Amino acid sequence: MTRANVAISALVSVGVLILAGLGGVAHGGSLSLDGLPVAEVDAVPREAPDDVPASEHTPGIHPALPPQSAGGFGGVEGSQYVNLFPSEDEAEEHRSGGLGAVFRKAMDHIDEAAGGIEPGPPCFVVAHDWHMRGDDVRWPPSYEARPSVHGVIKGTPAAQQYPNIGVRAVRRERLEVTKEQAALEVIQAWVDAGTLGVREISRSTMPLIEVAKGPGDVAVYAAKSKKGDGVHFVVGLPRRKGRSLMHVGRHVQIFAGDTSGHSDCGHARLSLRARPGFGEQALVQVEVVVAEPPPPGDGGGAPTPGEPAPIREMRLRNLAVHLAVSQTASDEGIVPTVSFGWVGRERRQEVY
Amino acid sequence: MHLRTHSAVGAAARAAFGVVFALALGQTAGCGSSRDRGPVEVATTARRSSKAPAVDVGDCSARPAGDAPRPLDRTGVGGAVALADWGDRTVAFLADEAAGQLVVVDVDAARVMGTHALGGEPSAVAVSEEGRIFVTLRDRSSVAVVLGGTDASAPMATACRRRTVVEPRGLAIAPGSGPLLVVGAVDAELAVLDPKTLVERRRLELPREPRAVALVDEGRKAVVSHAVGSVASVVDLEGLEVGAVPLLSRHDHELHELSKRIDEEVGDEQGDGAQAKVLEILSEFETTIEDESRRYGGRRRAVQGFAVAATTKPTGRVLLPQVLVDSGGPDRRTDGYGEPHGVTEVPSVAVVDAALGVAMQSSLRLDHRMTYRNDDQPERCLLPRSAAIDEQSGMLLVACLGSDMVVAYDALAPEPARAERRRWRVAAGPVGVAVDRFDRRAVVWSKFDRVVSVLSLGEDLVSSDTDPRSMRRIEIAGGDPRSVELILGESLFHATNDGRIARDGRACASCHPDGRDDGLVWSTPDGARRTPILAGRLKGSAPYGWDGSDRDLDAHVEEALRRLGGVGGLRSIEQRAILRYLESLSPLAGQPKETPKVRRGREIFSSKQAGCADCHRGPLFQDGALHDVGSATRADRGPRFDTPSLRFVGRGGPYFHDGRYPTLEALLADETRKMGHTRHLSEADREALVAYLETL
Repeated sequence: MTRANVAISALVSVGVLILAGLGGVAHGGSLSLDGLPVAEVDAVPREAPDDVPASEHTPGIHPALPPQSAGGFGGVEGSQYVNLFPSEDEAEEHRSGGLGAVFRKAMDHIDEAAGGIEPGPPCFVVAHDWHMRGDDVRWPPSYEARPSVHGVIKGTPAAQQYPNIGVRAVRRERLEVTKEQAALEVIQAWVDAGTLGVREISRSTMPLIEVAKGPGDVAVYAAKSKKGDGVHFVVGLPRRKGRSLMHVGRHVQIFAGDTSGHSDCGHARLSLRARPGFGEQALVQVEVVVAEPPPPGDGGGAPTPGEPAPIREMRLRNLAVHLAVSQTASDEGIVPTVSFGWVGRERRQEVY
Repeated sequence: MHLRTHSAVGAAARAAFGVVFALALGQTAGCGSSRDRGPVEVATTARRSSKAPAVDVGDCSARPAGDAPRPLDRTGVGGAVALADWGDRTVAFLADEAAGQLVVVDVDAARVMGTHALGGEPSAVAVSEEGRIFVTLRDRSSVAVVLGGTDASAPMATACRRRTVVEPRGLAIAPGSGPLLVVGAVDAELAVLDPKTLVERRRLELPREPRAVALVDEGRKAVVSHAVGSVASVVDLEGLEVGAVPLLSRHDHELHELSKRIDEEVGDEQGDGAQAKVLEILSEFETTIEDESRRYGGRRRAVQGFAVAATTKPTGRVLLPQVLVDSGGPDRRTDGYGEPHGVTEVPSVAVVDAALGVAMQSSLRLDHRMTYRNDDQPERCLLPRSAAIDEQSGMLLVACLGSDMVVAYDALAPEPARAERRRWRVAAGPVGVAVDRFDRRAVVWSKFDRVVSVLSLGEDLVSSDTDPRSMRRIEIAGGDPRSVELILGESLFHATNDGRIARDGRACASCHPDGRDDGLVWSTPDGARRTPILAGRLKGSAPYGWDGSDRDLDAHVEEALRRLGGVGGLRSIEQRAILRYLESLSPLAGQPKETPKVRRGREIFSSKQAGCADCHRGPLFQDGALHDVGSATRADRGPRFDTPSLRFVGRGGPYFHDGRYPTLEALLADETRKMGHTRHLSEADREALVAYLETL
């Protein structure tokens, strides 16, 4: 290009930055803090109650045991694994028929949908023992659709053997995205996996704005902290409908500083902080569809009578979503960035 | 700005990382330029025949007569390729080292516009705001000013050539009337030149093997990368102080504790006071890391600092691609060079906060996923040679010699090496990359294939790395006067990820950057061994290996490849080509120094009483024999070692076969040592002996 085009090019580049700053869609780079809504993420609550009576419930967090629980860890009487569900309906199904019923229902739903993308389910984050001890105040970067929490029933041998297993802090997040806005709905509660009681701690909504969009409809939303020293990033992970596509986007690995985690639900949230000379960075790695399979009957996809149906394939690749916040002495404030990159090679998968 | 200053000076300090120099050597003699002579035509033929001493010629104040090129780069960092607008074209100036010429490429038309013979090997080129083209001539210890003709199509001319530091590599131009900086690799110096006249204003001593330089803070500071030594230098050009930022790897738990400490001690405080407190904590942390590493090892050392890039939006970050190396434990015997089961070399990009003069600590966090072998991992960039930033996308582009690719990282991430965004496969031998910020493209100069690759920096992530739409090739025909054997040898010497050479992707140049040494001590099957310098020390120095087990170089190379775990298969012609290439490398001959101290040192060295010259004799200062000087350790297989050549011994430690002495001073001061008879020497005589050794 000659210099005659420079002015146009410069305008385009400014446009991209403004878009990014206002939360428009961009493929990466630094963001402006100005356009981001303000929000806070509560630290992991401490001083857990000794127990939560079974009579206490919190809508949105529903513990359930399968009908014939095989017992808890180590075969010790009084220990048990409890699954958490986002609705009482799902919890009840688990109680009556185990996870299989829930899974079958999900599959039926997928078959009905037969293609397209749906928003992910709510995600649960469960605090670890060391969080409860106060060694770390940040929620771990592990997001599960139906987490398993272990507990002990008071007065049993398990309670004696595992005195440190008590009431656990749990956080439920659901990413709500409409054409106009995005938000993270949050419920925090104490969960007693011995009594199955749940006591609500707080309920809040975190406003978000979309700041970047990558391949495979992976979107990044963000809000800034009140102090202006950090950014809350939420990576929206679209789930794909269709039996052979349902796992796509589900194998999500998260690396944040010296910790790692995963997500098997709708999103991953990473809250990162910076100060002069210091920064934090996270990587969310998700498999995305690079090229959709041709629809059946299109381009040779239709089966010819008497012959096997032609193979339909889609192309997949791991996408890395890089999230970071840093600051140097020269920066007026923190510098958040979002970028995307491929990881490994493309792979092909047959679609049935 | 904060610069930590230590007291050690000279070679002692040069050898030890983390040491800071504050030596302004003062203004040197002027260049004696003859004004009004106009541009001087120099060397119109390939420079290979020209080995005449560097001389000052021409008028360095000459200005372009016509339409001058305007630089596209705003940081002023010179490199093997520089971009400029010239008339209605975008041109790339290539430092064509092999052919001793400047090549001018019309990037839009994808054709070579012309070449200009320089009379020396150009290592870096940069275009000033007023359209003057500065070129460092590596083998002539000179910097030249080249001017264009009346327009881009007219022949160019060399306006002047001025002597400067020995083996100038890095080059940077300050904005406005700021200085021109030139970095000398051999004597480890930074020259501060007047950009109008090229008169040298100041010369500063740096840690060893400096390579690239960037100006920051509106020309008030410079950051220098180093090929070895695990440091970056931050130079205060006003206070004339040089600070060293340690670039060793950081452990997760250290960063966690550091962050916690800052939270506790600084909390929510803001402003200068808080910043000073943070700086104090970070400086203390870096000092602790240096001390601990020196005493206990246990962390990866940084090498291959050949490139540097500075951010412009926002300013204040300097990015230094490098490689973090695990050379193994000092008291161990291993199956090869370093730990046999791990990955010895991990790519890294250090970020230096130029204002604070410290590293952004998290940038040096070791990516543990890269420390084990995994087929899914992408090819590693183990010989980074050039870097540039595309400010619009926020990408740092790194040209990776050996693996023939350009890797793009998030330039504003605190851990850029963990935020790879794209990569392009380019022609063989990429040594320079520059960004055209207007047209969203990068220009890469690949010296082995003699090809310029033009990469599209568009946002289309979905396109594959080899998509022809994302890259264009421009062939630079002819030009390299070297034999095919030498070109092949250079290419093989730098080949990374070649299974024939090393199991974990290392190249010969990984441990021997530019045919020299990495300053490291490696665990080997024979015990701990310090990497030797190869350039200028191979011919006539048999036997080879610290225990002298290889009578000839072929055998020694075969043994080295076996230790690297390569599957083998290099043909004899290829092995020979590597050796021919090594023999062709220029030695590290620095500025000759003949002072009374050096003369006294020579007397001591040659004296019967000291006995140094009994074993260290001849042109290479070695006798080709094995001696027991009582230096064997538990890990060594035998007590006798081959007398090492002392040529270039002052260019950097550590010393002895296992690198036990960080400096020559420490070696000579050791009372328990049995080698030679120098324990009786006075301190002054010992200093004189060191001064002499540094001239070898």
